[in-house]
Amino acid sequence: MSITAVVKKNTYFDSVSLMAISTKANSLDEVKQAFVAMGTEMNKGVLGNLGLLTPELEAAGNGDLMVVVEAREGAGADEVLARVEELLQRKASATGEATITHRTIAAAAQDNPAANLAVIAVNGAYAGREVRKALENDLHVLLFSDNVPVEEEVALKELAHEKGLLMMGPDCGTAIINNVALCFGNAVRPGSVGVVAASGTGAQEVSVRIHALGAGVSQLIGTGGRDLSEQVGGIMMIDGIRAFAADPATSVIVLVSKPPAPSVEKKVLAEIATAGKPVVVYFVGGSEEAVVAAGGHFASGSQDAALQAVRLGVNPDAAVEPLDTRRIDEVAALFKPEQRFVRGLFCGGTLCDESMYAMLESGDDVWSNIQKDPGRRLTADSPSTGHTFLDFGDDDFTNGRPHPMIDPSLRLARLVEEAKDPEVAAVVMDFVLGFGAHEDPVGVTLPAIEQAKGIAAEAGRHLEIVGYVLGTDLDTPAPADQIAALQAAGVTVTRSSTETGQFARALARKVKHA
Amino acid sequence: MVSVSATTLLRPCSGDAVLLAHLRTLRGCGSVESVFRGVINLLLPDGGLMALAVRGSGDAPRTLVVDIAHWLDRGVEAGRAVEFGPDGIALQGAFGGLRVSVRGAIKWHPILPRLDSLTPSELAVSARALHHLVSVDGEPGGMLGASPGAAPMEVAVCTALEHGRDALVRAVRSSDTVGMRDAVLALLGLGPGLTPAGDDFLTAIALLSSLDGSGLGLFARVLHDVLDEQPGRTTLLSTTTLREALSGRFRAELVDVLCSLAATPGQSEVQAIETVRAPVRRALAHGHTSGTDTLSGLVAGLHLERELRGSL
Amino acid sequence: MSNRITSLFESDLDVVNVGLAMFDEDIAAQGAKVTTLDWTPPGGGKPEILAALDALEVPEVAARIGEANALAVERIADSQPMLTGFGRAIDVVPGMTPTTILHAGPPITWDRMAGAMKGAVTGALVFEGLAADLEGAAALAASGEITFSPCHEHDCVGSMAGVTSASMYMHIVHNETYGNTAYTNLSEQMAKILRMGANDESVIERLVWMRDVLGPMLKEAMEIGGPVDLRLLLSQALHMGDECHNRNIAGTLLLLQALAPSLLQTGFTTEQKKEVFDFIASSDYFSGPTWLAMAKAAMDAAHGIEGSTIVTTMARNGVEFGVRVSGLGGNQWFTGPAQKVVGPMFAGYKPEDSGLDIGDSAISETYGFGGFAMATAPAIVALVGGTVQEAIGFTRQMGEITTAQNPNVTIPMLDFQGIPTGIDVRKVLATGILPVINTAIAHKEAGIGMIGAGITHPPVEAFEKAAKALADSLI
Repeated sequence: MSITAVVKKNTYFDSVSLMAISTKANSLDEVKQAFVAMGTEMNKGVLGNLGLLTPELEAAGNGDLMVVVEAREGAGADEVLARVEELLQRKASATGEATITHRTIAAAAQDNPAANLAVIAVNGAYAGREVRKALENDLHVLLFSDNVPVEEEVALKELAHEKGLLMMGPDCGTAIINNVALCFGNAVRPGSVGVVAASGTGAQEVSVRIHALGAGVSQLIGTGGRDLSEQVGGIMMIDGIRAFAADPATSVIVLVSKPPAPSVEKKVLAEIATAGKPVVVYFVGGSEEAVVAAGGHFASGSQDAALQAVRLGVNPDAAVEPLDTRRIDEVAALFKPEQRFVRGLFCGGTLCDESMYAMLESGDDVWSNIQKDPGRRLTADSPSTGHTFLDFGDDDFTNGRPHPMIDPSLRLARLVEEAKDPEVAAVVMDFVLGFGAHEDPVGVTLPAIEQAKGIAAEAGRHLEIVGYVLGTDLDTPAPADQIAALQAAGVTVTRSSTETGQFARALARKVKHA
Repeated sequence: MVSVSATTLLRPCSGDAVLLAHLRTLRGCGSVESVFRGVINLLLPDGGLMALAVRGSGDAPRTLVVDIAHWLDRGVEAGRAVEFGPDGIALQGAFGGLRVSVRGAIKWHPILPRLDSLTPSELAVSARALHHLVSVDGEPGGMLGASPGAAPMEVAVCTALEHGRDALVRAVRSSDTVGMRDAVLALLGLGPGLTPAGDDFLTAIALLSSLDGSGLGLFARVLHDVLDEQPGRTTLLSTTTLREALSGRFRAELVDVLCSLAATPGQSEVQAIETVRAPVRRALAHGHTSGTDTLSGLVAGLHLERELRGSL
Repeated sequence: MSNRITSLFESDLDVVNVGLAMFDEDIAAQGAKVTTLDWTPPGGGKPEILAALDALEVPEVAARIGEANALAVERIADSQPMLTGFGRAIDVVPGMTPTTILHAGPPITWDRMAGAMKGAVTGALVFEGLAADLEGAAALAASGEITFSPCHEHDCVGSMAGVTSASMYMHIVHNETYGNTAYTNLSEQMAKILRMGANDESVIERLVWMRDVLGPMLKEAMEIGGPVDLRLLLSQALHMGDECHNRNIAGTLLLLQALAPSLLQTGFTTEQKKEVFDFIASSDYFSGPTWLAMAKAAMDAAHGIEGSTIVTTMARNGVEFGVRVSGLGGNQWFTGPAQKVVGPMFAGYKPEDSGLDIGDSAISETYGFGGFAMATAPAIVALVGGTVQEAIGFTRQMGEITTAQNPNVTIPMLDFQGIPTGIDVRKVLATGILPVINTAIAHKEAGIGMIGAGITHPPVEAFEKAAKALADSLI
């Protein structure tokens, strides 16, 4: 019990305003109860009976005003005292600039002509309207919301294009503009690599890999996950390429996307010729031939995209270490014969995609909620089968709930489910750090990891859990701490999204042939 | 430009006639005891207390109502010296001197009704009417019990007030002076806010005891003795108010309530409620729970009057 | 083409953050400037309201509305209402008959009227000699022989109950710029008064005296002294700390200053003149109705502009709150339930004694003073239960739902910014900010009168209905 006592000698208030203060003090979050009374014997007696009589109150005289505050569990006495003092003194400050909180984008933009970008994260049903308001007020837009109808996206991007404004998003909440990470983003060093990405975590992964290679990012433009779809037609990626072409601070351009629509891919690649700068293209599952024909540099994965960009624009000697295969051999020996499948549970769509494509390349069947092949597409409620790779950030899972980077509950439950399946050899997971993400994604998952491992162990199985921590050494929490916690829990930690896919593929191949 | 060091002369509106007579001959140095928006309390050279109230305040014992809207921006602070002289009361504010003239004030005398014109059953009717209005319109947090959802501290104080009240009623009813003394001590200085609710409660009974025809003489003597023996039991303001009440002097609002009660003989309870409604509402508006606590004392006092009358 | 993108890369990032407060901290922590909106779904998130707002924001439609609104606020600001005389309602008010009773707010029948309005109606019928007593008056009111009609539909406004009968004296306020005229009753000052629903003998006696002495004397004085520029007086009063709805101390002195020489020259006895001066001195409210008629004259000039979404009337009858919009001219009312008024009560009264919001006086806020000009009247911040800063905040917030600032009526404390003018139905719904109205509180029962003062807001339904009607009319 934390008691805070203020004795106001010769300080008086009107009784009505004094009681109003006591009512307000009682409604403070930090306050369990507050009481204001004169320091008479009887009042002190009552406080004594309640065990609330501090020496300070004991010393109060019958003409002194006692302000007694009992703080809630966990609230600091000093902090509570400061809040109550504030209430007692509030009346004194009556002048000065009255600030106003604006309700609309138009009002905020008119009040502050320097405003240049709007971050919009309202329910998808209202998002289009707000974006239009922002564009009409000449603000660039990062639309974080998902569940925005595609027709609306097209109309808004056309409007933005006409006005020469960026309309980033929807449904790919990342950007780094002028070294400020917006929405989901990582603390990446400033540099000369310009990234245009139609995928949120793909963009994050590439920027984090660039940072890890000692280089930095000039700007990162997240175009929205559907930008390279047939309907949208790559409006923002094309505008982004042109902006980087004109930007003297950018020496090399990286394009990142999930598998694009073929017609759009063509249109986008056509821009490479006129960019006047090296352009590295990482389209998950894309064709090398088309990229090279267009004059671009083909990247086979996110790691490769970062590596090539850094080599082309910053440091020709940059390199990454190859996958360590010894660990795979060790692990494979632990499985029972029926443990033949890998399950991927991802927060990041592109991270899921990259691992899934790694599996597909080796000719395996993979089921997923983001599978292009409708025959192998799963929904949020379908059980896993064979190799299953799920993107928990997809609309199918997020509809009406926060992104799994913020709210991990669905993925935790799924992890435990997978552990019960006797056919499962390994579960692959990503842990995304940075702005907007969960403050301790590993910590919140550890109990489920322990539970999953326990379930498997009880059934006499080894369950291999593979984790990748996406983040830079400038992020909070530090990736090193998150990795250490995973390793302590017996999780195998990979060093990039690409390596995660390679590891999963190698493991799958091993158990198939075992 | 007005010089900031100029002395402002403040005109009196009205004042307690007894106080005015006292001030005419009072000389010496006192001090400011406390400052509120609507009233400044002054310590007199003789150790007594008086109040300078603002325009529109009701008259009250030891109170001078001054023609000023409020005391907030005058820079008057507790502890400052106050000079009582032939030209009135001189006090120093942060923004220049203030002099309050005592000449020309309308003299106020509390004129109390007699109680002996009410029969026991009429006393009961008036007490019930008053009780009805207080319980409907009054403010909880003092004698009416804790407000809904109140914090444990408030609940504890209200419980203690209830015990004190019950003990006092029992003791007065049975003329038990020792019990009365204990109950008075249990109530003095008890309650939240600036004016302890227990004091307000006792004050109303004290005022009743001063009326002609009251049967509460024994209680008055006990209270008088306790105040003499233990003056530091509650605030100086409460002590002063209690003493004045024992001598039949109290705020005009409560005097109005008493006068309206004296006009209820022959009325039904419903009629009596209408008779006393307006003054009761004005009296309830005093302070936060003060008005309610005082009127609660009046309800208890009236019931006691009736019971004591019955025992004669 | 990508000039704007390039220039973004070269400027300091300055973000408007909408929807998720957590991004505010992240962006600020990285050293960029960020303003987070207090965002609520427009139109309260109701699909049909959003659809109406969207319809009104189609570029061609929005352009038409923009032009119409510019014209509407120009007409409000340029109107120069002059007090030109006083006269009996039967002689001056259009459509007035001996058995007509005008009332505040949107149309209402006798059986649905609030207590205060019923009290005022029966009092007025007794005053007119149409009934012998209040009981008879109530029977007459219910009989169908009396024509009830809103003040607003007769170029009038009526404070509180707004009850206006044939022989009551009216202000005559002529709009010099646009030629229309507005009328309103005389102040009965502050006490038990008809407009608050009181109706005992003292109230009727005062009305008789106002009819026989005050009204004729004011009429004669105006004939001697000539017209008075009310907009000029209003703007002076605002500079002197009135918001001219709940605080009228400066405005009343200014009006008296303008009228006093002529009042002295009238042919009435010195005794009668002293009565009139005493009456004016008895309450600061004397000029209150004058400003209402001033505002009415200006707002009527802005009514009926095709395509305009500007609110030209906000009025309450104690049961319903009614709004009229310029682009939906004539007598189309959009209504919702009248709201509670929150504020300090006279000693001895409690919130549950209050009648609901009543009166045409919200024409003040429709014009831009009253609650909209709270920043200029720090002395009444007690009404908002708070600080001077909160009062300034009210005025600034009203800027978010209005179209322009009136350059002819300014607020010194805000660097002589004009009062917020031209409430836009679209902005009210898009922001979720409702106009703030300063007003008095009448007792809920007939015959008691004023018991407090405070602030209130219109019901959002009235604006929603107006937006739907506007959308229907413009597409």
